[in-house]
Amino acid sequence: MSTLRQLVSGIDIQLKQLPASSDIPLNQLYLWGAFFVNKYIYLKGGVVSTGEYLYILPDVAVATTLLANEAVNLVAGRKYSILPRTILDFPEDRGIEYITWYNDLDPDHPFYAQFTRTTPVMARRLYYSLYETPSAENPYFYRHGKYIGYLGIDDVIVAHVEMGLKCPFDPFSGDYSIDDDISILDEFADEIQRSMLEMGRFELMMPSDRTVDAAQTTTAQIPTTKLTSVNQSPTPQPE
Amino acid sequence: MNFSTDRLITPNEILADVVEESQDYSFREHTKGWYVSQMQQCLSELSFDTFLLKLWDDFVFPAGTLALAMPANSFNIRRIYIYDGLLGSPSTQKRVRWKRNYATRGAGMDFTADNKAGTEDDPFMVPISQSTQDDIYFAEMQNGVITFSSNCASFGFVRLYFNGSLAPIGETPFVPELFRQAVKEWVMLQVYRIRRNKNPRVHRTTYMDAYNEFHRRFDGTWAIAKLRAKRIDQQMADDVKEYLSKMNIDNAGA
Repeated sequence: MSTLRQLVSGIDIQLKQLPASSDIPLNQLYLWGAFFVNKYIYLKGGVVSTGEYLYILPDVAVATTLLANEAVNLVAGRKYSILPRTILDFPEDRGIEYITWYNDLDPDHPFYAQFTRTTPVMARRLYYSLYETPSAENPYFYRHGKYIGYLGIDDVIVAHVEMGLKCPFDPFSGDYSIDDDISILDEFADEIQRSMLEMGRFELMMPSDRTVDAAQTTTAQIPTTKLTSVNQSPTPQPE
Repeated sequence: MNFSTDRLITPNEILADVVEESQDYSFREHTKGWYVSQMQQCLSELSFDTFLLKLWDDFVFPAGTLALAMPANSFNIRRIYIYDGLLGSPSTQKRVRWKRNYATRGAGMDFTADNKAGTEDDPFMVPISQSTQDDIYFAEMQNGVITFSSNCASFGFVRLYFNGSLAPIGETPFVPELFRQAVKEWVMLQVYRIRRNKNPRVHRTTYMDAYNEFHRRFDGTWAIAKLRAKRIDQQMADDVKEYLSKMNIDNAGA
């Protein structure tokens, strides 16, 4: 969800805080809120099987590149889609819950096929086994960046696929707005509030540490005499 | 082997159980094809262990080479017959016997064998007579090739009885209901084994439990599967008992 621009502008605001005018803009709080909401969505989604953050996109376009394009990381002749939304980056690309396509080109033999997740390196061994070789009925997908590459559907016409994606909460550019119910796990509400308050406290603390006002120029007195107890009369030192 | 083909279990039915147990619903741990391949390997191993699938087929006799490649999906020749008539419709038949270390390069070539007429000077083996040798039809199986004696070439066709695998590589492994549990547990054992290899500290005990349940000597899943494969030809067993108990009374003229 976040962009480099959002991250950097947030830090920029923080670095410009001065004690006399300390004020954290509301927009900055919204950004922090979205960060922490997504943090807990990620934590929860990693351990709980929930459809709360699942988006089903029934018509994601499939394209084919005619020429290899190194700039966008595409292989010539290979079918691919562009991820239509930002997804939660769970291990094993589990942010992509599923990808399917429905083949009705042959009315006598229509079928649904679900793409199995692989990677370009793991895909090599698929071709060693008769049972695992990619085919139209046993297709595979792999993710590279914002692209989804497909194996097994090279020789059939596939215009669209259906995707189920687990997406982060994005009140800035997605379907959400800041007034929507974010269904954020009430069990994490206190964590989110505390995280934001700690962030704010840290931000307001930081400028005083940075201040160089030259007020404190004296150095601490270094004892030059032997330290003695107050109950003991000082013994004159021989000159 | 006795089982109805109407009661074959599809790979998907096995998968439904296996995936539930492995919790690999989206096939991220292993692909669907990998699971099906394990089923095929299980049925192959069961076939090799028990010789449970008996097959036969007809072939045109290889008159030129005297050598016939064993059929695909065969691994153990049980009987060889040669016959005349039409392919698949024998009129006269002869049984072909096995001959130790018989080898020939084809029609018109002589052969070598442990026991061969004309080797009377061998101090240890009294050879077969020439006339007996000419009357017997024999063959030897080596490296997937059956080599026939030259007198077999007077017959036009061969019928082979052999053992085969329940699920040849690449074909859909339909599972006889008798072996459903065995196939399911076999596949899970492979899943556990790979998990153990990845993280022995976490998964070793699970694998060991599954291994012991599967390979327990007398009542483990695999032992029961083998026992079933061997005991289900009940008519054959009953009939053999009946034949033996009759003690050839009729033939003895009693």
